[in-house]
Amino acid sequence: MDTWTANEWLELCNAAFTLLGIAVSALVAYWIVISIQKRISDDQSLKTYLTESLQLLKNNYHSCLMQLINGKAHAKDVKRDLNAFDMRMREIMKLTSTKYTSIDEKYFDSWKIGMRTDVENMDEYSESFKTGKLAKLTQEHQEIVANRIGELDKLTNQFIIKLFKQ
Amino acid sequence: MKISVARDYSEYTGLRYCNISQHSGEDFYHTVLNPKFAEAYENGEDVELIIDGTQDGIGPSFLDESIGNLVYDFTLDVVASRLKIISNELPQWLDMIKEETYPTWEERRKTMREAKVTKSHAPWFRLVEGKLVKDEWIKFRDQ
Repeated sequence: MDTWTANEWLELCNAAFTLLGIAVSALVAYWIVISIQKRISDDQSLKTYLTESLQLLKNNYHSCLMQLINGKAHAKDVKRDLNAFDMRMREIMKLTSTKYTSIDEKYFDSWKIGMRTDVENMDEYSESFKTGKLAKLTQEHQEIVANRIGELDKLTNQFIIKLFKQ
Repeated sequence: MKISVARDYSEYTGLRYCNISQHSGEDFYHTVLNPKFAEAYENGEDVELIIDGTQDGIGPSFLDESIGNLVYDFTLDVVASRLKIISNELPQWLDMIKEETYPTWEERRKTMREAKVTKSHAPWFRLVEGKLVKDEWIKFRDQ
């Protein structure tokens, strides 16, 4: 009866281990590729979510400030709404800067401070707050608010570009 | 000592002056912030001012008027060292206070450009040569 020699057994074991090694390496490589693809996909999903959230919020600010420009807003409603938007923006920026540390969570703060200060310094706004009537801004003040809307557009676009470069 | 605008003053805040809105920065200063800060000063305590929790949020003119008056009456050195302002909801106001309110009102204090009062207020505290003095420092003139 043919029996295998020790060398033949050794060669068989070597071959088996080699095949096992190749299989394990292939599995590890597959896992790495899948993980990376998933991470890229998760990262893209997060960026898309942040971008969409910010665009929605930008539209909220637009709408509120346009109503003010067009004389269709009450000062107290504007105050309440702008505060709510500011808080929402804070949450989005906190999340963004946690994940993408090169983006400052205070990115929009100067704009928020400047816009709110401008609006509250307007006599027509104060009058509306006092009387409860619609705020009727002067031409000059309408332009100031319109400029603030333009600034927000620019900041938002720059933010999105910065975000997708991460 | 902790002061919460929402709990110790009002859940709804107005704008800068009493003649514009209820629950104004001017009113908050004279009815709550000035007397409580003076009390804390007398006791050697610091003050934590919590500006979160109001129903419709808090605006820059309310904060500038109330904290600005505090700087005017107590000096920037005293206010900056003893007052801690807390906000998790709207922390952008903390930067505004530090970068705009503090230096602007300290300058006003040094050049004696007094605050505006839009109604008569009960006598309030001011630090004069290190001592707390209570007086009606600015008289309201109805025009």
